[in-house]
Amino acid sequence: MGQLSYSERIEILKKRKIEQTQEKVCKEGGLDEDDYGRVVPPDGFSWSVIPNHANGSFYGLEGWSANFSSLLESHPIYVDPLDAFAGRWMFFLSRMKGPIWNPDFNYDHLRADFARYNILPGIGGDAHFATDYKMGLELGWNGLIEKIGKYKDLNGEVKRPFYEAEEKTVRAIQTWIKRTSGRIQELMDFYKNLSNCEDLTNIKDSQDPKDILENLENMKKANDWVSENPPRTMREVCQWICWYNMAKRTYNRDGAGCQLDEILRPYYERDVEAGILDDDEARFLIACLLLNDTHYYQLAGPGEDGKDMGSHISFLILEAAEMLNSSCNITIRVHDGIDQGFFLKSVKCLLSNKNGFPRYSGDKALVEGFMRCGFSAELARQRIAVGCNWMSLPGLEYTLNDLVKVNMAKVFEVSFAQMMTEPSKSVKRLWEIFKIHSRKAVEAAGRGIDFHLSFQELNEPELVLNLLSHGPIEKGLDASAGGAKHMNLAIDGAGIAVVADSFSALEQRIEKEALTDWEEVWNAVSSNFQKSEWLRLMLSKSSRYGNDDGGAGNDWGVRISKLFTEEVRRLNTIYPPRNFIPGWFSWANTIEFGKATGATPNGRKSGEPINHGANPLPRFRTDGAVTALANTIASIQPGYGNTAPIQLELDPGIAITEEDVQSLAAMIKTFFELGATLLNINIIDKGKVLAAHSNPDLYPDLVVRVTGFTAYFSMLSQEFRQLVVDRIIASR
Amino acid sequence: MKGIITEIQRFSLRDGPGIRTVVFLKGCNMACQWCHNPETISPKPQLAFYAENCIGCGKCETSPDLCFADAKVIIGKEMSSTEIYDQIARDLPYYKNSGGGVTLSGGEALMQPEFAIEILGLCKEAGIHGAIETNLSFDWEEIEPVLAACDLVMADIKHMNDSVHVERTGVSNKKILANIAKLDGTGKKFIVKTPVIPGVNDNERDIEDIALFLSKLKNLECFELLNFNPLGAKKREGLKVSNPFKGALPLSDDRMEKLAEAARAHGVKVRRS
Repeated sequence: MGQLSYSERIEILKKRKIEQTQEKVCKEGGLDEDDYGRVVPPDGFSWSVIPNHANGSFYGLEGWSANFSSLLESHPIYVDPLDAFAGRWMFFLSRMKGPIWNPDFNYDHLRADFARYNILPGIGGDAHFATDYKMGLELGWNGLIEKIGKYKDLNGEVKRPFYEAEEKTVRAIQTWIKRTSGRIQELMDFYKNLSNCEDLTNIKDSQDPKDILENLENMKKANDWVSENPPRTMREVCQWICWYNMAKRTYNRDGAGCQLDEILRPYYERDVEAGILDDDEARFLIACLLLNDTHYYQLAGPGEDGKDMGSHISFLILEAAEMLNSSCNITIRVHDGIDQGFFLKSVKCLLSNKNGFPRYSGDKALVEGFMRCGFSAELARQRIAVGCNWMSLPGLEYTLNDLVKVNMAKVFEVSFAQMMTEPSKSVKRLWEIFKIHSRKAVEAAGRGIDFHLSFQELNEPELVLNLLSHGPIEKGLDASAGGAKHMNLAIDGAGIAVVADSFSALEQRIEKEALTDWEEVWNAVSSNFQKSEWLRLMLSKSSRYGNDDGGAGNDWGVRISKLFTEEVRRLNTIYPPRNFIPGWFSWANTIEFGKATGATPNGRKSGEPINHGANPLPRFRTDGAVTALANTIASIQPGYGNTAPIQLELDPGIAITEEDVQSLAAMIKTFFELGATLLNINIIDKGKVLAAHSNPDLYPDLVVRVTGFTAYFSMLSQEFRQLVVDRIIASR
Repeated sequence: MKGIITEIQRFSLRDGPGIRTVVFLKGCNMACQWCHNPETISPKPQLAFYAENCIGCGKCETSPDLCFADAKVIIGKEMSSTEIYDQIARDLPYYKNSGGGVTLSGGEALMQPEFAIEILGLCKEAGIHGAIETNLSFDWEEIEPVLAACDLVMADIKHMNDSVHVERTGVSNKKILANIAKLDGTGKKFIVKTPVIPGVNDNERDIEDIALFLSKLKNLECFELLNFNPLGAKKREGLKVSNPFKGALPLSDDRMEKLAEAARAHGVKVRRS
């Protein structure tokens, strides 16, 4: 028995996380979402919501603060003696409460349009904006209590319930930390007895109890301090962030992190200078932070002054993530001034870990886009990647990011059906009708947002996120109700490829080539292409969005995105001073939107998924060229600071040599020079390829390297797929 | 001018340096028994039939152009050099950032020398790096103008034994080896590739023979060993041509590495793909 190295401790902690994840899947079933870092509560634990509504749920300031407080008072305590940090979260309060929206705020009058255009209105949607971690680290929990007290006194009786709810929220988090500290003391007592004991054979983890004791003492000191005060050291800062992250996850699943390198840098540098921290320990602390929760963090990118924020600690974070090599949401902000060594290291990391991190965001297009909304370059640079597809200004805006979506494929379906009732049919006429319905759909989404903003404070105030936002505490107003400094509201379109391919197919096959006519296509689409397989294939082989060969498919994509962008921006004139920002994203809704949409003239059958985000549909090119895909997506960016991401899935065979790393780095850089905003690359693993081999339909976007070129896995014959599978297996 | 190609593939990382677009020219003077692009051998358009894709619509009876099921496929299309350049130029920023460019492959690029020169010329004007993949089994006078138009040559040596070479490819290797020596004399950097074929040259002796020849050259960039590619089997079936390598499999990673090591022992820089 002896001292475990940091990497050995991480290995044990990672193994535990895998066991915990398996337990979670066993007890709760698989979830189609991030792993987070949540663990299941121990058997026998029970807690019930305290309803304040006849429907059994709770709402408003009092309901949320009372329930959050009650849950944290009894939240099971988790301390792992090998971990640098205490705590794990176990509950989604927002999923335990019953109906998320208070039925007293009725929106039946909006539902017809939502259904007609398959709109996800975001009513009752929570979190999904960034908070200012720096503020929390400077004030600490007691400092936040003082700030709340100060503005409670200033803003009078009317605002008292808001401040009381906020205060209760902070006190609940403090209680959770202090209870955990008590548990650490108990463990310390236990290990003290063990270290005095001669028979140590039963000690778990093979770690010398004296080392465990020392770790627990450090953990206890850090928790005792940060339960009230602003953190002083790197260890304390990471522990504080763990608590803040766990609190907001528990409250409403918020996962937006921060510019992690820049947040940690001052503490790291101070500790190193003081001789109390070295790089090995720093890496370990960061790995434990990343293990605690899979929050989204950004690394590098320009600071307010335009200079790169990357530093030595950016490298350490990347190395810590590699050491952990688990689910990890790190985004590298690519800009002209990025440290080339750091950038190349990140590409190597992506290729070697095969866990899909890091991903990349493009500073140029994001900054130029956000400036088009009227913001300064300095502010635009601060808008960092801290969500699935989104950017946010830490502590300065309320956004509804990734919550409001319009299924444009459904809008097309409605338009096509209407035109077919008219005597005169043409692509020109269809476009006119599509424009009308696009406006109606976007307006409906706007009405939904307006409704949400009117009642969300009464429904679900952002009690945790308000704390680290600039405005809500000062004004005594929830971020959603205007407490936030800026209201930059996201509306994403979905299904651009389905619509572009449909317009393209109709134009090419009916109007240019006269290979079919409107009635024949309409009948085929209406019957879900039963007995029309030839027609379906013909339509599907028309010029496609994503082909990037100068054909009509891409032109239609550009046209559709321009229309959608104009309609979303038009909402600014209806709801001033709110700022509406368009994007293209569907993510988890890709399948659901597809199910809601009947067959379409691009040869897509009823219920089949729409395209993924801004990506083209599978088989957009025979060579599946990612450059064509990227050029296409770069060309349809709405251009106001939100994203239309590029989603790439590449097989490991693509990166064998140093030259390949250089080529992929060049590829990423080029994507962003061309105007791309966000790039998710998934380097697929053997398991995924095998699963896709059994059922390729499950992985329609999976790109594999066949020989010198790449192709969609799903479009290869069984024989070809087997070859790819064999090669991947053989290469390991 | 117009030429005939089978396809244009973008985003290749293996056919020369950086990110590349590969243009497959149709027509080859060799007929390698293992060729994984057998559709590029004939210089004329061909009709292939893939029965498993046929939906029985009967439309192809009017014209094979009306088959959208990938059952009857016309292989080969005429395109002008400017049409091809327009496609190549779409990835210009990627070439610039990665040191990539265009690669004329095939088939055999030298079967359409004037067409190749035109494409390479258009690329050169735009600052795009141009490479050719060729078997070099032509008279030096035919090769020289194309060499002048390109920045990199990737040549093949299938086997050092001439009788095996003739048997397996239909062409002698004498001219090829002589031209490689001439190419070396021009001072132009070049790459030599060898497809490693089961039962033909997948042994240390044959690979070392080639490496030994290459070790005497001054301007060789590297020797690339290409694992056997069985993807031509399906195409041969579709084209109704025989396949002497039916059922043959690529070599294991270990085996390929051993062959690479054997070549490296002769002081040659070796790359595998």
